[in-house]
Amino acid sequence: MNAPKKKIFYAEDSDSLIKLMTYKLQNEGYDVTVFSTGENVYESAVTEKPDLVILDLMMPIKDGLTVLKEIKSDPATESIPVIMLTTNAEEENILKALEIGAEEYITKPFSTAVLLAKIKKIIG
Amino acid sequence: MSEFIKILMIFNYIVLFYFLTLITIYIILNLVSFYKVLRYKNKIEFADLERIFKLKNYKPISIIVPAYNEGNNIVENVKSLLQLIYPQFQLVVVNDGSKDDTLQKLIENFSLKQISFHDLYKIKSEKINAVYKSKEIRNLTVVDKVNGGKADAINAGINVAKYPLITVIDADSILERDCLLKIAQPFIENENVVAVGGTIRIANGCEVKKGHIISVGLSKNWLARFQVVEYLRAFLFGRTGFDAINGILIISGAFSCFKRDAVVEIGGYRRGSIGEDMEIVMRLHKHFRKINPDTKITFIPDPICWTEAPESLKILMRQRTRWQKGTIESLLLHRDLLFNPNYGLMGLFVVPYYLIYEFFGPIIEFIGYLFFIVSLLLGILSLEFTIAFLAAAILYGIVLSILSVILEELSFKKYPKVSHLLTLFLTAIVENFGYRQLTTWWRFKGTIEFFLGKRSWGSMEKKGLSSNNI
Amino acid sequence: MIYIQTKNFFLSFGIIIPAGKNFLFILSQLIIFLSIVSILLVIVVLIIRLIDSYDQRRKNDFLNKWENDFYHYLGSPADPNTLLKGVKKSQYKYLLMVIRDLFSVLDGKDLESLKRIINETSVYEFLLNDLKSKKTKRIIRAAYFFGASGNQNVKSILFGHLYSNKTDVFIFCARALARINALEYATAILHAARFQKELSTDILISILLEFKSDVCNYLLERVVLEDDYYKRIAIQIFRFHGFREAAEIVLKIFQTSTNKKLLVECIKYAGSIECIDAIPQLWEHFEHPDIEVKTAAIEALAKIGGKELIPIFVQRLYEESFEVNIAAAEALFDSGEKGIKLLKVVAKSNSDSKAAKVARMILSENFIEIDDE
Repeated sequence: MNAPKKKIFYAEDSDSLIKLMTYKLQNEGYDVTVFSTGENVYESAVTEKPDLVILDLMMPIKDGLTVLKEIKSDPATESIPVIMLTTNAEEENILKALEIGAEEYITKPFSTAVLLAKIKKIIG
Repeated sequence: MSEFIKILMIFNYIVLFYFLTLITIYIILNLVSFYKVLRYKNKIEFADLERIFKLKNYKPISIIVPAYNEGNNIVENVKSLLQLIYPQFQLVVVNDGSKDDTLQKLIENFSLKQISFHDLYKIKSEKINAVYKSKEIRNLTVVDKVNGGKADAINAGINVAKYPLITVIDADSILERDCLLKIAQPFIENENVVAVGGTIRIANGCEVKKGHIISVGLSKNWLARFQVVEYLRAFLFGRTGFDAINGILIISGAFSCFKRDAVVEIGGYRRGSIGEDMEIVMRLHKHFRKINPDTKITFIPDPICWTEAPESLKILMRQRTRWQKGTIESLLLHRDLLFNPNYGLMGLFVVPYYLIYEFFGPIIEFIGYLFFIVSLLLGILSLEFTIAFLAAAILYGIVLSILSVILEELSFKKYPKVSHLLTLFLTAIVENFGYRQLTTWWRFKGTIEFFLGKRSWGSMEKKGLSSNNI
Repeated sequence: MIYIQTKNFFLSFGIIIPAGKNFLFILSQLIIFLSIVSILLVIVVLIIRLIDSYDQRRKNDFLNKWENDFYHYLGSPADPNTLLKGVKKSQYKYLLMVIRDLFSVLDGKDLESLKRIINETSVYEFLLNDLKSKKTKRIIRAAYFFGASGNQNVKSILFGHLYSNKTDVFIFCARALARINALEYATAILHAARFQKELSTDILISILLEFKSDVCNYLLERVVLEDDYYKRIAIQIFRFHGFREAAEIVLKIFQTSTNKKLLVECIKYAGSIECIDAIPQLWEHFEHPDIEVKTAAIEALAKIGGKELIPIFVQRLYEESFEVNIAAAEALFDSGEKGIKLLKVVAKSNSDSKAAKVARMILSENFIEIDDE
């Protein structure tokens, strides 16, 4: 019997990365929902309860850290693991994200294989 | 009677001469701009601006946001400004003695705490009441000061700005997220650059969400449409063309970037100035080109800032008369640049251009319209001639506008639909029947008011902050 | 027509005005000309838009077919030539744009596969033609891709472009050489840069930073032989890479040089690698007449640290120059508890003195209450 597909939210403002990651994630058998801004990510997370959220740090309208805070401060969504993905490798940001409760922090440039392996480790 | 006719005729010829030279100048500016804009576009496509995050040799930027009675939008604007893409920047919001809750809103939303401060550079400004910083958002500083107008507010902001580049914007400017990466580029590429301006576009009709342009569109309001075409022409052609001979006399206050030390050295913005954005650029030219003839004030054709254009005749009129006054004021203050060979082509060509076509232009045009009518009535000019002349003038304006649309199509392609293009063409035609004459009249009015000393900016407009000339 | 009346008047001024009838004729010709031009221009715009949307459609068609294969290929050991089998030369430009967007965000095996497309397939010949052409636009594109993919075969062609009279060409080709990490051309870049009139030091440094850190060893070997300009840039590169091996030579330059800009770079370098041997030298520059040098010295000493420096920093709070005051206060703040304590003492002391104001400013900027004890 097939287990239900794991659901992943991916918020990112670069089109080319969205396409690439969607393909790679679907290829691994995940169900992917894409957001091109930080808006509505948290709201949808409340209703749809994804198994994992991948957030880009720098997004228009709502940045990744804000979304992360929203998700982690609501008891309904705080247990959802979050991976931060970003160009800005400043120590301060990494520490902040981890402090708020992000499971992983990956800086661009990154390897999709490594990201997929980390996702697998977190949600199987 | 024949004396009068003689004068009339002379004037008609002056108008003709004025018009012919203007055409020639525009054509030259046009050609230069095509070359420059396309070159810029080629370069920026592979510039990989975000690599400075890795290479670490960027110049940190202080963004100065003067705010007066912006309580309704200020929090949202600050939030969207904090999302700009740049490795290190500081936001300095200057509350210029607002009468509304601008300051309270900022304090509440960003949990600001008052800090002890010290003017770093001692530029003159009205008294600073307090400086606040946010504990959570370390790069946000808020300055609360006594009302003194835009120039004064910027000066106060510079006094607390700690980074080597300062970007001055309006509280309601909508910025592209990579604008800082782009505006900082000329400073990195050329050490002699002291100031950089960017292209301003009209946001009316665009879909804007929380300080971000979601999709570009055109307003249904004709007044806004006219301004879209106007801005396209002014920035893609005028500004870019003058840049080629280092003759930028004005950088729009809606988005400008300076070397902080350069602005400090000349004592900041001129307080109480009507056209502070033009005045400071002329002063920078004057001061620094004397010290270092290679000093450059430049401009990037990239549309990096969007601004809401007035859609009411009254406000637009106030804006335009004010621009005109500002231009005259700056030209008079720096009249020693005129025909001054020490300032190269700028002194020999650009300043005279501004004097003739921006300062005297509206007067010549306005009297020209009058004399045309009078000559027509007196039968000095034949009807055919008048119509033919006007038709040629209008067609010429249309050709110029269409050329700017072509350049836009070849470079930045911001307008996604064909219907947008058709609307722009239609606008380019319609603007000649009414709008042009109206702006001429407003500028004429501004000139007259300037000299009659009806300086109405005294009380009311002094506080107003959106005075960006284009 | 009445023009005749005034004609003489104008002629006396040397202005030749066409007579009325003629003039009307010229005007009407002009009108016809301008109308035709404007109609033509409108058509041109529409054609541009049409071509563009056609191009966009072709691009989308191509990408729809190709993209999944491409994503599948990324990170796999497959042969890039199989991926490019059905791709026409005219479609390379679409493919290149996709690759460009991904170059800066991907790493590891994914990046390897991107590089292989550029280096091992017919895309290589395609770009090579671009690089050899005379058009700036094409050279820039080719240089970008060869640089990003670390292609070792094109170095000499890139080198040839360094002496181009177009600054953009220089910048892109030099950057490509740096990204390829062609160390043997590092000095060539520095020398060719002198022929670029409008090139700034900053952009040159940003180019050299693209080299891997072993460029430091290369520069170190030559730095003594070259002039101040070269030295200044080399020392900045050492600093960015945290290259400690240059300490000895930089200190020597520090001792002997009188060039202010070079001095400042030496000081900054000493500070950032926390070079203890430089302390006596830095100490001396505390008294340097130039504010920039002095400030740099304080900042450098603050980085190197050491409790015995704290009294010196306090002294500098009372100096005339504001920049020096702030640098000293920040140095105190960074030197830990003892420094902060002293800052508090100063802040509380004489409330009107400049030193007290600066101390208060630095403390409150960091949200430290003065009277918390």
